[in-house]
Amino acid sequence: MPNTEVDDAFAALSSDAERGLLLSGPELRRQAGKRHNRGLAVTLSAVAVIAVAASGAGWSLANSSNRETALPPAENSSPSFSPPPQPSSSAPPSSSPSLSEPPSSAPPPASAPPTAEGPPLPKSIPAKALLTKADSRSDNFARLDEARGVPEFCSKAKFPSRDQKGVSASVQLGYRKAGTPAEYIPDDLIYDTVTVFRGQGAQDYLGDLRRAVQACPSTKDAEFDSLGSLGLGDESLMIKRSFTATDGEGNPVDNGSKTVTFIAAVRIDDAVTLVESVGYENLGSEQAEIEKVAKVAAGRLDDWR
Amino acid sequence: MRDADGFDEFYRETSARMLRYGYALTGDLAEAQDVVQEAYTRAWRRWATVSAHPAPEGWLRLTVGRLSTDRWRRLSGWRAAVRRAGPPEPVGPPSEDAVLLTAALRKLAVPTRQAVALHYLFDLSVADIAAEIGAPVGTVTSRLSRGRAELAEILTPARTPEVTDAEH
Repeated sequence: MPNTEVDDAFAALSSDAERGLLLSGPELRRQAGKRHNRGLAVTLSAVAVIAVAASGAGWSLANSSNRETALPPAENSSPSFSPPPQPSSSAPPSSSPSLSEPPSSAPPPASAPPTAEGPPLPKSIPAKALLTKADSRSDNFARLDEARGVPEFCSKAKFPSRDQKGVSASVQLGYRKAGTPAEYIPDDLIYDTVTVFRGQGAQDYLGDLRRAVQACPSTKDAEFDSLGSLGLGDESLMIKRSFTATDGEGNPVDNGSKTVTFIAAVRIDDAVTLVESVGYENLGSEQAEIEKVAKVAAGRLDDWR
Repeated sequence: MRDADGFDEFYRETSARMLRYGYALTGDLAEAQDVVQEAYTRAWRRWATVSAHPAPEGWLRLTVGRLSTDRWRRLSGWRAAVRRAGPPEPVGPPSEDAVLLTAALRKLAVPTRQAVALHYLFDLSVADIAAEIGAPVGTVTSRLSRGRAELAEILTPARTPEVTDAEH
């Protein structure tokens, strides 16, 4: 019977996972305190985590019966390590299921509620999660009464992730890049929308955006190109939007020139911050500036969520 | 003030099975260790929120799922540092049966792999999985059915090739 094969295979995997090493709870908390910031600081502190581990402190077998047992330094562990003891009917605490039994015959985990719904949704998106007036370097800054919807692509672009949307908010900023005098018009008009999703909606949203670019490479109004990841958050995506340039009156410039704007989406856990430049009046956007703004927006979201 | 004892107890009770889940999703126990530690690190950073949720383990599963999917982007710098510093690798080589399953799981689409792992490792029903990942019940049913069939097809001939031959 096919499912017996699958049951047995998962039982073997569960048993094999007992070879894994995890930090003890107190050690993990201690290291977590050091790793509050991301980026380079994370990498450097990770070295510190391992330095601690290499000195023989804090690591223990994933097998729950050995959970509190610190292992010797890694370089000494392989040749002399004995296999973990087999769980007996009396040894494991009641809250730790036996790892060597097939999942089909083991009771469900005691602490896994049958209807998990993911992390709780916030009641609203706080201002600190979004770009701020200071980020705009202008007085043209406002929180919108209603959050913006998904960016416009074409009719083939579908966004089923919309159904998993939880809470959302948008700000609009007339953006001046560093060095633009205050008396000048803004360099760009930018919207930042932060949305927290249910379940895997945030991942799905990034997927929907990628598919939208593929489904709508060229429409009568605009062309879309994916510029790939920005290397921000858990995942990110930069999209270039090109359309026929217009003059100050909004009439198409009949010389083939294009105006370019950008959409940058950064996901952090269950939330996405989407920076959408639309250009100030008939002007376009600068990619490097939008990348800078997206990085700031990702930082705001990360600090909050 | 975060409840350290509560977190430690939760970690002690759930981290072993979370490691199995990460192992099934990533196919590599060392990567699963990284992913699971990162997930619990995030949980501790927002423990007041996570612990108040009716399903903190569901929260962890979602986080492990996301990190496993994005692990190269998310953890590449961390992994590089870890490898340079000489991390504790999992003890001993993987078992042959575990290798067979992880290789088979890697052939499944990520959402299918996730649904199958949630079902077999946590004994979650179709409705529970659908609620947790925010997908329709029909979609999860289809993923589970497809995943079981594909796994069975991959695993069966690998273990008993003579049976396959005899059927022809």
